[in-house]
Amino acid sequence: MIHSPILNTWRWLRHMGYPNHIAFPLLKAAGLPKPVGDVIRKTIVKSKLWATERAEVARELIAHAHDAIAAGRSAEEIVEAFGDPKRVAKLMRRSMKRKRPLYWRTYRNMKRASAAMISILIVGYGGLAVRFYVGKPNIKKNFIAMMNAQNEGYSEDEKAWGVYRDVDAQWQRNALEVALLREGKDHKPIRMSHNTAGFRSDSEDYAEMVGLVKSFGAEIALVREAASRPIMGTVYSSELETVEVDGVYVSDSIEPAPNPEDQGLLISVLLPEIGIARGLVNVLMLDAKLAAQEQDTDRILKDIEASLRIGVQVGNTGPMISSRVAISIVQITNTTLEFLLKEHPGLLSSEELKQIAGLLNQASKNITMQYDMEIWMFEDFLQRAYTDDGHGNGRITARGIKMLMEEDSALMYYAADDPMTIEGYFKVAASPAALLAVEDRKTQSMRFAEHIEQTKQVVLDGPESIGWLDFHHDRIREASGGHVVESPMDMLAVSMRRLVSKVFWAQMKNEAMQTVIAIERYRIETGHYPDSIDMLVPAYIDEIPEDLFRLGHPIQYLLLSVDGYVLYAGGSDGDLDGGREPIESLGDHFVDSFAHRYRLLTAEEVDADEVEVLFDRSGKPRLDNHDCPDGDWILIDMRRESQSPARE
Amino acid sequence: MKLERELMRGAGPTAVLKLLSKHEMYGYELVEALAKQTDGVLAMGQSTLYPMLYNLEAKDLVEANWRSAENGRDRKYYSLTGKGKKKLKADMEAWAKLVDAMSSIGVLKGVPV
Repeated sequence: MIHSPILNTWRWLRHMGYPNHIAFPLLKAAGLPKPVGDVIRKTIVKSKLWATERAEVARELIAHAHDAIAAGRSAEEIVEAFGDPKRVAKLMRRSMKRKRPLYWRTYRNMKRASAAMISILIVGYGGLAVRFYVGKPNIKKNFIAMMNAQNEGYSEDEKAWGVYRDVDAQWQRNALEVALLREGKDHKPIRMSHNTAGFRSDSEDYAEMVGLVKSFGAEIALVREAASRPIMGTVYSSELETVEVDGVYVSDSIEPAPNPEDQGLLISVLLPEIGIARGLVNVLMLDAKLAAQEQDTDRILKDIEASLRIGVQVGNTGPMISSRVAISIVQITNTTLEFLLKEHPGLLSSEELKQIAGLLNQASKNITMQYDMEIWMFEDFLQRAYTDDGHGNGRITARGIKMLMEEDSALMYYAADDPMTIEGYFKVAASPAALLAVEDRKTQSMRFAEHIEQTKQVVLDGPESIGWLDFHHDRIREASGGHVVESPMDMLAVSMRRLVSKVFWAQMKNEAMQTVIAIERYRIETGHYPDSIDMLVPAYIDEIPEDLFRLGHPIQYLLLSVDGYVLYAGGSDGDLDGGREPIESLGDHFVDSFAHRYRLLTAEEVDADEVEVLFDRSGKPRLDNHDCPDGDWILIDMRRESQSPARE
Repeated sequence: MKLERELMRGAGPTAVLKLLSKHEMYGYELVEALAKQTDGVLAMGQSTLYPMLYNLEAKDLVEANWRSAENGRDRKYYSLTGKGKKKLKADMEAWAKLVDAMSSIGVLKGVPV
């Protein structure tokens, strides 16, 4: 018989479901005694061979039976010698299969190998799934209590938060009253933490705001007093309680649960003081402007001092977001001071300006970057997402994956269960693979600690090292192999880079403001602006601030007329353009972007050999990036007639 | 006396190859020859013989042809292939060595060979 894959398939299809169609007619035609025919028939059926193979076995056994009969054997003897048909069928099947063609054996081996592989995978994945779903976090460290420990040892009189909260409530009441009297349909009260632009004189809310601030004298006095207290004193918790008091809603933290298992994530701890603090500074700064109209310089000084103290209180609460807000508060104060100096020249005396310079200097020094809480936030996430082997290591758990995969915010919600939809089932089935994809607890913890160290170092080294933050972050991402699930570290690392950039940005702005104050004092005392800011040293200022875009060089002073000047820095292209701001669209580039100027070289740029490589102060290579917008960064514009020097 | 299964597994194929080396034979003829010529020691039923023949066929040591006998019925005749002949020669040498070795340690002592 000819064997070929096609012919065999054809045979198989033709006789599918009736494989004895050749063997049985042969058996019938053989005319054997019934008992003999029956054992042969049974053997054929039990052999489960192909139809042609069954026919061959049948012919062989029929011939054998005929020879036995011819030799004088009885039917009983033949049946007895035959043995158990089931066993014979099994032996026949095994040996006949060895005669089958190569392609069939190859196919069978492949099938067996695939089945074995699938079995191994199923068993292996099953083991992985058990390991994954059995893993439970051991939440034992109370990070929220650690955060609240900063309030320990202080009496209620030394905490500012309660005053700020009540003043905010009073503002809401006043604003609501005013809003209800407003003409038209909109009776939405003006919030204290309104965007700072809303506090400008060209804002449509300005008149209403001025009215509110004017009638807020008593509360402003309370705020000034609270600003002098040593700490903010907010009790941190992952839950806020909002209570209606005299028609307005006041929010405050609920005392955190004593057991960390019952608390939310530290990273989702609510910081109600941030928004209110900003609002209070807005009010204080508007009050300072009103004081200027009334020539009340004492009040201006008090408002500036209170504003800066609030900044320090906020900055010292711990999380990096608080440091950012503190930096913003100082900048709001700077901007107000700039306004006052421009709009009310000569109002503040040289001595008062000197006092303000001291306050600004003090605030800048007291607002420092703190890192502990970021490490706590990350460790708190790890303790809720990973198992705990008691030695600082562990593996990701189902709960952890859920925390990471929440769509809206990876870190905020994890308590709600997925409804068991198809997607839910898929997640349940696919999640154990995370054990292979997500790094263990120790590695995550170590990488984050490394990143924090790197951040600290960059803050110490200066803006020229800022590229190393990105480099380090990229290295972390590379090492984690582009995991399916993004680590929360990625999010925290990005926000840290932004903050570091903001620190350098604020440093230049603060130093420029100190220079402006020195210039203004010089003018008060001499009757004219200095021809050069070098003339301010040492009587008015210790040294001219450094241009962080042109390391080793001072910031620039451009005296435009008797009533105006500009302080500027080189900008991200690192050269001077006569105090001209960039004309072309910046796109993704920012003229005040340190990250862009001091980024590290990419592999392509090294290969292209078209860039200038410099070395930072610690000897590490960096890119001196001239591929940035052509223009300078105006630090402070003290022109009373707004006319760009670039267009002169 | 019948051999144990393990011994039969080693001796059976060599015995079948040896019988087929003289002339081609059909199944029943092989069963009879094994029973008579070995005094029943290597006797095997069809349930053992045919699977063994199919294995030898799969290994290309024997080949088979269906032919009509004098009585008009079809029979499948088995004969040795060239590969089968070589295998038989190697098996016989191995058996001779085995017998010598068994003899040298006294296993065959007093037993007529």
